[in-house]
Amino acid sequence: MAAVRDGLENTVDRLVDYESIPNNALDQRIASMHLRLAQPDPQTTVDIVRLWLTRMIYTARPLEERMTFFWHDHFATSIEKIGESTLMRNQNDLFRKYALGSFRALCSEVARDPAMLFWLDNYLSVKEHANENFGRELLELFTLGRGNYTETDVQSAARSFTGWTLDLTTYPVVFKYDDSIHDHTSKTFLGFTGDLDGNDIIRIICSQEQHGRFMAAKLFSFFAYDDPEPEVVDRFARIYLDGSNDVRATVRAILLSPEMYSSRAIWTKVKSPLDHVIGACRMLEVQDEITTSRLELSRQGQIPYGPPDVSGWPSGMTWITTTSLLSRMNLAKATAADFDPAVFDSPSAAAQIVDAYLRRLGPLQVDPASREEMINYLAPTGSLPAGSTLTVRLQGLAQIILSLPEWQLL
Amino acid sequence: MTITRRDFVKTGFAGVSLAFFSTRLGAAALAATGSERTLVVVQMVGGNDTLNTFIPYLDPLYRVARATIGIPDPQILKVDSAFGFHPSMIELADLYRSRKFAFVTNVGFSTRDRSHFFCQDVWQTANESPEIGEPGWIGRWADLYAPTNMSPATIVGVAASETRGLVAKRAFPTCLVDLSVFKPSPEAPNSEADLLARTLRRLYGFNKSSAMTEQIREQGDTAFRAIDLFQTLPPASSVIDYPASPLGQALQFSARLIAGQHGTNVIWVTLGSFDTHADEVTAANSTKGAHATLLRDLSASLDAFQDDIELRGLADRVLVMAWSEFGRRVQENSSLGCDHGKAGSVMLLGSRVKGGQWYGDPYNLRDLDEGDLKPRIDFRSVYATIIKGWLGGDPSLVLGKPYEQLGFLQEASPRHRAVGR
Repeated sequence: MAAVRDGLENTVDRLVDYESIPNNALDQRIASMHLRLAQPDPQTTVDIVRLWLTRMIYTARPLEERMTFFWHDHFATSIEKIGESTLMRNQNDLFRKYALGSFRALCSEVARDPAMLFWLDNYLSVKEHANENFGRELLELFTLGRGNYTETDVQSAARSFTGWTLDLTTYPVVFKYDDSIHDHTSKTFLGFTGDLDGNDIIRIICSQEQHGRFMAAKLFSFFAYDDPEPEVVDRFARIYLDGSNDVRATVRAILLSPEMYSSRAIWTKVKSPLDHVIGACRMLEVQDEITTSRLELSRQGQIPYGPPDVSGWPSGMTWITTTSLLSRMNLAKATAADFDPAVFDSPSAAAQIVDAYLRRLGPLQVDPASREEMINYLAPTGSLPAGSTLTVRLQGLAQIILSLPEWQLL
Repeated sequence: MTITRRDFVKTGFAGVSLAFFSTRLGAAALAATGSERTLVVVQMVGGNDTLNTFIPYLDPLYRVARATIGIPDPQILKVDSAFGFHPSMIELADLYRSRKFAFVTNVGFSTRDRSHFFCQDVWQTANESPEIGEPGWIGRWADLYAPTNMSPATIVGVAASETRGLVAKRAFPTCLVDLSVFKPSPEAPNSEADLLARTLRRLYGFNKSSAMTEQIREQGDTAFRAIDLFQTLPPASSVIDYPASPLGQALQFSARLIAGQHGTNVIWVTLGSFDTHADEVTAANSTKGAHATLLRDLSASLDAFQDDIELRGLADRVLVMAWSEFGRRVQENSSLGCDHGKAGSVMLLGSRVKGGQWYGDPYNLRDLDEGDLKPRIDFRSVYATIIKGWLGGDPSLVLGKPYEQLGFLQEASPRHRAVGR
């Protein structure tokens, strides 16, 4: 058992301490895409999505991209309002830089991030009329969760962030602190009173026990399962707070925890559209499905840089709808059409091929009737076809498996 | 008294309380009557600024609170001494004058929490302490009363992901975000593509042992049936121009779906975002800006829809209800917008609406709750009125307890069942 344990620790270490893993193949691939990322150019809004999807599919550091997406979903900002792809890409770089860093440092940067200042209107907030949008979502969605503060706390936070604005004379715009519009009067926030500013608000929040529980629950749910038990949350909250908002230590502990490998954590999460797209491309080792991926992601409502609102994307069974299933089947079709069956082993009998594909694309367990149906699909007459028909059938089998109800779960 | 199901279906027995029947029988009976009526729910996402929608133009406090973003008096579409419509709502003001449009004022629920997500959940579940996974109010109605052999057209949501209000335990909605995915690709018989397509359809016919995979299977199976059903719908009207907006397109499809007569009970569409913290109006002109654009879309889309179903002879069978999770703060902010508030308004459109009037009280800008309009009508009264007078069913069973009936619907006409059949 010690060996298994060591094996797990090594695997998790490689995932978590990814900085030492070279990503040259990805960098070369990106360089060869000739992306248009310099504004003004309408193609930039498409190409920043292509760039990120390429990273997700081809990175040698999968946890880095997963966490980058976690923060995008957490501090959900949409290009629909921002318009400027440069600001979105800069925010994305910020999320990647702090993917497993200190939350307090990340949160302080996000509060100064031009896309966020636009997104939640804080750049317009002045002492005469503090705009509550950022202050409210900071508490409700980013750090504490609803029910853990009062409306007065919302207003105090909003007043504290007055003056955190933008220099609109530069291009792209940059953060600017303007003392002349900052509210210097006394405010009370979560029991602390004084001439508080935004840094004070983030410092106060980051030491709250509730903030630890909030982040621990969110990180745990992202990796293991939804609605974790309170004692599980408390355990990871302790690690998070003792490490001064250390995300890396928390994620490492979650990935090493027995809960991560319990029955509650296996085949209980619905794949998000991105999980589906990235999983299909990585598993079938197809070369470039970015165009189809973008279309089907937008049909399913999860195009990167376009969260529906500041609360980020929904999760769970809400992803499963009549439309989304057809979209997932479309994606399976496009991905499988580019799949080269020679990448997988091909046993000589239909039943073994079905079993091998189910293992390789999961491992996936299906009911006997479904397995029989797939065997019949491969060999309707009882014997396997040959040549190009066999290739088409093997691609079809991959398409069918990616379309199965069972494959929509993680 | 003995009433057989055959009698019920034949005569309608409009006066008999549905609570009289067991849930199962109630469902069977409603399949024959309720299925001919459609409720179209328009969710105005983000918190519509009711004060700039139905404007208390004679109240001097409106001018004080809305010094910058207030609508100038001459542009307001005045309908009586209490309210005028936003100038973007020309068609809705006309529909009000022709008595097909009404609104309910000061609607909401008592809360100190102005979160979008909390308030949307409360409205969608009809529960002030919504729980994770709890069905929506339409979902609860559908679980009780939708036919057991639901078609893919019975409960339909036009939204990117499942709409909370439609979440059900049994009567799952059909979700349409992009109609193009429902186009069939006719495969040559016995081609490889045909073999694969038939295999996939059969695979979605095998029941699953786990609840999650079974629910996924059911949704996929519904999708396949929807592909087949949508082929049979009547075409879009050739004489009605809908706005090219997502709302306009969703309503155009809704009219076709209703005209197809597949027993569509509820269609849920969305419009937004109404979260106008900033740039609700433009600096140069308070009748322009984000809010004006949204209300323009709403007004033109609903007008086209009403015309469409009237031309198709279906107007007596359709009711539209538009709602938003809250109204906005009375006092404007410094960003040409206003922050989250409490009470808002609900809009009602249809030939069976007792329109040309508003329900509730005028706004009281002298008696605010933390700067917001006080909720004076529980939003569940709107639902209860619609359940009793339109969808059919016992509002107490759906909503947990009785709520006031607001009387904005005409009494059921014996003719409505005959239309189109």
